[in-house]
Amino acid sequence: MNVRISGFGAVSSLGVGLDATRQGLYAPPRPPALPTRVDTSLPLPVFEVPLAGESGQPGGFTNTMIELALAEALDQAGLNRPSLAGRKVGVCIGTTVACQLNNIPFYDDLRSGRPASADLFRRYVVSAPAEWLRRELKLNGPAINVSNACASGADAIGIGALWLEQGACDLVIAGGADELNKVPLDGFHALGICSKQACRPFAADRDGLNLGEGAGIMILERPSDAARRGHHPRHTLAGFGKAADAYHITQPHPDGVGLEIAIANAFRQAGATPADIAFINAHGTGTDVNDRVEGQTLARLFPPGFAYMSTKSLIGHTLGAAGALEAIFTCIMLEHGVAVRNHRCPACPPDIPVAPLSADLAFDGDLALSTSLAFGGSNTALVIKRMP
Amino acid sequence: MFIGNFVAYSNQALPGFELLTPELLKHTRERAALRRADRYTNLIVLAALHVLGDETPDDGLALITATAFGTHRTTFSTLDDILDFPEAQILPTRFSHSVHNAAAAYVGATLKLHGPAIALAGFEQVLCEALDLAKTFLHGGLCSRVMVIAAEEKALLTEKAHELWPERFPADPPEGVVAFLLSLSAQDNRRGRLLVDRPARTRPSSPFTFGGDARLFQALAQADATSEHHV
Repeated sequence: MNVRISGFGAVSSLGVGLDATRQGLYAPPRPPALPTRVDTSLPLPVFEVPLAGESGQPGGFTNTMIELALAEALDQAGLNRPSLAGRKVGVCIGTTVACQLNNIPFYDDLRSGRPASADLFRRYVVSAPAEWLRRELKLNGPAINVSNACASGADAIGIGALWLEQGACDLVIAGGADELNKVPLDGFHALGICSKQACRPFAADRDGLNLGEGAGIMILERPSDAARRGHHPRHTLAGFGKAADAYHITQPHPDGVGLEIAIANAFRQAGATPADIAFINAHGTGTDVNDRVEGQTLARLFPPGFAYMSTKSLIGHTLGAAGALEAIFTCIMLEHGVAVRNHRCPACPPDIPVAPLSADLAFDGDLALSTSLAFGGSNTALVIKRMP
Repeated sequence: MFIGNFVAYSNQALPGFELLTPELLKHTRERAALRRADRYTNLIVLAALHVLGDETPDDGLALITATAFGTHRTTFSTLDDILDFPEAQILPTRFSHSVHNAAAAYVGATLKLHGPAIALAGFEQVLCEALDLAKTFLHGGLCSRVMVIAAEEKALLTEKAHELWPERFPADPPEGVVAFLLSLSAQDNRRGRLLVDRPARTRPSSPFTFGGDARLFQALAQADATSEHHV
C-alpha cells in the first residue's frame, strides 16, 4: 500500500487543532473530569473537548468537530472546500454514536405515544457524517459511515486508502468522530469497564477506561496526484490489516488471534517486519482484558524491548474517533522523531511481558504501527511511514 | 464480480423474497447459539447461514453488513433501561448488543471467520456502497469471497418513520434481509455477474428495500450464471 496522507486535523480533549494537539501530546497529562455536557449521576470522569456546544444527538456536536478537523486537514493538504465540489472525492467516516438515535427525550415521547420531534428525526437521518459531508461539499464519490465500534476510525482510513488504490475515487476524506453521550457512558459502566479515576493503560492496577470525544480527519491521495499538484505530504499509509477474532461479542480472543492476523496483513502490504517498527501506538484502553491480550500479543510478535504506548491516558477512549486520532498522533510522533511515554504506568505489570514506554523516546526509524481492537473482536492495524 | 449466491427474506410478500417466518428465525437461533442475540443479529446470521449454504467458510471470506436503522430495537431497550431503572443498573447485555457490529461478531463467531468484517450504516445508498466496498476488498486482495448482508428490523422507530417523515419513508415498512456471496472467480458464479455503476445512482434508495432496488432483488431470485445485474 502506498497512499499519501496529504493532511490531517484533530479535535480532542487536548484541544482544537494540531498546535494544541502537539503540545498536549508531549505535556504532562491532564486528568479527566466529570462531564459537563452529559446529564449523569455516575461518578465517571471523562475527557471532554474544550468547545462550547450542545452535546446531544443528532448531528450537531459530532459534525461540528468533523468540520473543524476537516478544515485543518484541507488546509494542511493545500486544498479548500470549494475546490472539491463535483470531484470524485470519497468520504469514509467511522462513528458509533452518530449511527444511532440515542436521544432520550425523543424516545420517551415516542414510547409514551406523545408527538415526537419530526425535526430531530429528520436531522438524525440527514446527519450521518459521511453522507452529510458528501452533500455539504457536493462531492461525487463514495460515502460510507463505518460503525465498527472502537476500530471504526482506523477502518475508515484503511478503506479510504483501498478506494484510492482501486481507483474508486481521486481523493479521500477519512477519519472518525464521536461525541460523549449518556448511552455509551451508562452502557460501558454497566459492563463494568469504566474507571472512577484517570485511566491507566497497561498498568498493573488498571481498572477501566475513561470515555472521551473528538474527531480526527485525514486527506488521502495517490502519490502521483499529490505530486502533480506540487504537494509533498510528510506521511504515507503503508499498510492496512483487518481481521476478526471469531470469538466473542465483547471480549478479545485470549490469544489475540485476530490482532496477530491484522498486523501480519498490514506488514505484508507495507513490506515491513516487526524489527522495522520504531514504535506502536497501541489500543490500550486501560481495561484488564484488552490490555493483557494486546500486551501479550505484541510481546509475542515484536523483538525484545520494542517501544509501545497508549495515548488514551491523554484523551480517553473516543470510540469511533479513536483509531483516527491515534493514527494522527502516530503521524505527529513520526514527524517529531519522539515517541510519547505511556502515562500512569510506573512498572511492568505482571501479566504483560514487556513494559510500555516509561519515558519519551527519541528514535530514528520511519515506520510506526497503530492498532485498534474493537467490540466484536474486530482488529485493525495501520502501518504509517514518515516520508524523507 | 460474480454472484455465488443470493438470498432474500421479508415478513411481507415481496417479489423475489422468501417469507421470513418465526420458525426460520427460531431455527437460526438454535443453529447458531444466539441465546442473547437481538432480532437484528438474528436476521443477519440467518442470511449468512443461508447464503453460504453448504459452502465451507474459510479465512478468505470477508463480511460487510449494511443497514440504515440497524439495532434500534435494542438501542431503544437500552433507553428503556435508562428511563426506568436507576442509572447504575442498566443491563449490560442490551447495551453490548446495541452496537452495530454485534451482528457481524455473531456471524464471525458462528462461522469462525477471521477475514475482514465491516459494519456500515447509512440512509442514502448503503447496500450499493457495501457492494462497491466488496469489489474494493476483492480487487485489493483482502479476501477471496465476500458476504454482503443488508437488514432492517421491525422496530418502533421504523414503524414511526413514515409518520415523522412521510415523503421519505413508506407506511408499513417491511422487515427483512438480503445477502450476496460475491467473488472475482468465474468458478464461483451461480447467479451471474454484478456490475457496480456509481454514476447511475442519483438519489437515495429506501432502507426498506434494504438500501438497494426491489427490481434487482426480483431479478436475482430468478438469475442463473448467464445473467448480468447492475447496481
